[in-house]
Amino acid sequence: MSIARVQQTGAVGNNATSVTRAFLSNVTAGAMLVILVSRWSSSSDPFQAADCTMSAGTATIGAISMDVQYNSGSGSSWVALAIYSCIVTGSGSCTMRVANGPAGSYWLVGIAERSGSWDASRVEDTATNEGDAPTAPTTGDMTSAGAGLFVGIAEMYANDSLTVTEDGAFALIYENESIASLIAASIDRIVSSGTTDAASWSAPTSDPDYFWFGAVGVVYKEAAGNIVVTPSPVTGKAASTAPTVVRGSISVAPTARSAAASSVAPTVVRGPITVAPSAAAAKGAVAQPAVIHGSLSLAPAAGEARAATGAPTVILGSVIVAAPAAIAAGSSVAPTVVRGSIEFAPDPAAAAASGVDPAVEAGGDVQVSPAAAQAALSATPPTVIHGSLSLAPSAAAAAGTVVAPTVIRGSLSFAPAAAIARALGIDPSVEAGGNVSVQPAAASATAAVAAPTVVRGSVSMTPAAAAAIALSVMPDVVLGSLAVLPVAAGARSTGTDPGIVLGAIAMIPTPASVLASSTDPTVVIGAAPGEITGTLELTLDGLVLRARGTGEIAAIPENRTIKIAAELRTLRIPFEDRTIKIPAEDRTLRIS
Amino acid sequence: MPLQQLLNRANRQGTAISAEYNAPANLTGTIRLRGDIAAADLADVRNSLSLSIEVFRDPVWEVIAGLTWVGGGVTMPGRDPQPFVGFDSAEIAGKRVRISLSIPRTMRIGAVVEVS
Repeated sequence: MSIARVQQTGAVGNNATSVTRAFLSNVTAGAMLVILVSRWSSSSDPFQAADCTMSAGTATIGAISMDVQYNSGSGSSWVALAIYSCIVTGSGSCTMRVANGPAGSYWLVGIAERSGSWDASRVEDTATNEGDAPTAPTTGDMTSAGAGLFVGIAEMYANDSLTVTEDGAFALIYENESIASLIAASIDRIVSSGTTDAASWSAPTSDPDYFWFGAVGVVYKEAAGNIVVTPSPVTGKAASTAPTVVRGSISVAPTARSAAASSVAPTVVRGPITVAPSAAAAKGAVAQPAVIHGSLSLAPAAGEARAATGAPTVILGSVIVAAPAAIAAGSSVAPTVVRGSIEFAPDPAAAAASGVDPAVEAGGDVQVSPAAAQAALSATPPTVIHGSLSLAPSAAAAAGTVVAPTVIRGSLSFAPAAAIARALGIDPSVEAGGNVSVQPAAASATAAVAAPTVVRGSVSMTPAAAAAIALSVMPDVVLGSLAVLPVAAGARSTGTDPGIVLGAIAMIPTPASVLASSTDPTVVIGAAPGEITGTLELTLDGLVLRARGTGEIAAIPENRTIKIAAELRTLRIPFEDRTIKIPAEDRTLRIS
Repeated sequence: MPLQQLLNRANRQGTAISAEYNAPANLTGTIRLRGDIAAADLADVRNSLSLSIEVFRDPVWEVIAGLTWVGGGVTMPGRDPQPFVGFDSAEIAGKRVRISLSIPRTMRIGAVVEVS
């Protein structure tokens, strides 16, 4: 709803402690009332919020707020200015009263009704100012981000009547130019887009009788509005919503039996977006604005939902894609930036090619959990995830599941529980804040790999399947601990080969048959470079363990222990002034 | 337009209603409806006043503006010291207006209308 002038009037009041003024006609529910007040008094008395009330009338109004006030003067000459506003909640007649002035006060009151969509957060900017002649009266610049209402009032102190001329972009609410009363003027300007301007007056700068001004101003913005598109015929096609800017929410909810090509593609949406076709066949539902300041919910509930896409450039809220239809295909969420969470949970019988692919996911979590019988090609390769990432396909066959973001600042959980989990990969470049957990529990887990470049938390890899093959953890750097604990009956080729581990490493294969388990870090470092604070341990608990411990240790402080319970092939200690003792009973290397 | 005395100055207390002012249809400028208080009473801090401007909207008189006044205040240099309310006279052009006074303490007061 756009802003519009409805009515305005005003009054001057001489030698009065209060002034009342009625609107010329009934005010309408939803409109905003603006009360602009200027007062001269012989003593300092700044305006207070309670000074302005509705004194009579059949209308009802919401809380009156004092949006700006200014008080200036000295001796026995003081000027007070204020702008109040309220929202009409019930239509009717309305008389406003401004009171509590000192005896002998002189007033100018302007009152205005402005239609629009207003709420309690309507004040966007304020300004106060004063100056001496010949400076032109002005509030100073105020700014609106979009459409808005600029209002201002100025009092001009003078020895005689003045001609007061407002800025051409503004319109008069009420003024008095006569020396018989207070010389002051109230004005406003409606703007349809982002604007910076001052409520100002071009005269009376050259009038010799003018010698001082005080001014205050407020910018009001409208409340968020909403767009609802709900085609409900049997066949609803090509329902589209594509405004440039939406300050409120957007809801697109075709409920027809066949809803196709429903799209929401404004440039900017300041509220949430919901796209929820519930028809039996929902196809091509698209939410693709450039920027969403709220959340995005894409939830086709149809029996057959295809190609549901949420691909805005920036989402400042959360993203939910939840297609529970029998067949959900090609559902993708690929915004450039998501500052909230992403939830992606198609749980139909067949969820294929489910993709979450934002460039940056900056504030919340990413959850991809297709629970269908067949979840294939589930991919989560965002560039950056600031929250956690959980990927948990539980279908009978989970294949080709890949998590490969560049950076994850939270934790990463990867837990396919399907009977057959293959080619499970976690390959972020940096996982910076939490932990990495890889826990395939399927009967057959093959080629499960966790190979991030840097892990700042811990790495836990515990395949429990009957046959776990070729499990490897090979980050370049692990700043926390690293644990590889295969407990399956047959775990082979289990490798831990990070470049650097700053914490502890534990590798404890316990099944009946564990082959070729290795831990071969290049450097193990403690809290400070060159120290060991954790424990490097290889424990033989099965029938066969061919382990090699090759510790390239830069410096080992005293009273530290490296415990190697397996066969020691190579250990290079570059510090010749250390004494190395290897007790035979436990093959413990002690540095003293 | 010259002053029109709507209520003669006299000792008054309680409620006083002025005579009606029939505003011409072509009225322009600012209308001021004011009390007409004797100088001694203007300076007396014990005095107070509630002044209302009423316009006749058939069948009732409705208050469209008003003020409250307390005596003894330091008034603004160069301005009319009489308590009055002024507004755009076009709002009442062609209508009947009057002044309603509520006077808690006896003082010499009348009521005047002025258009300029």
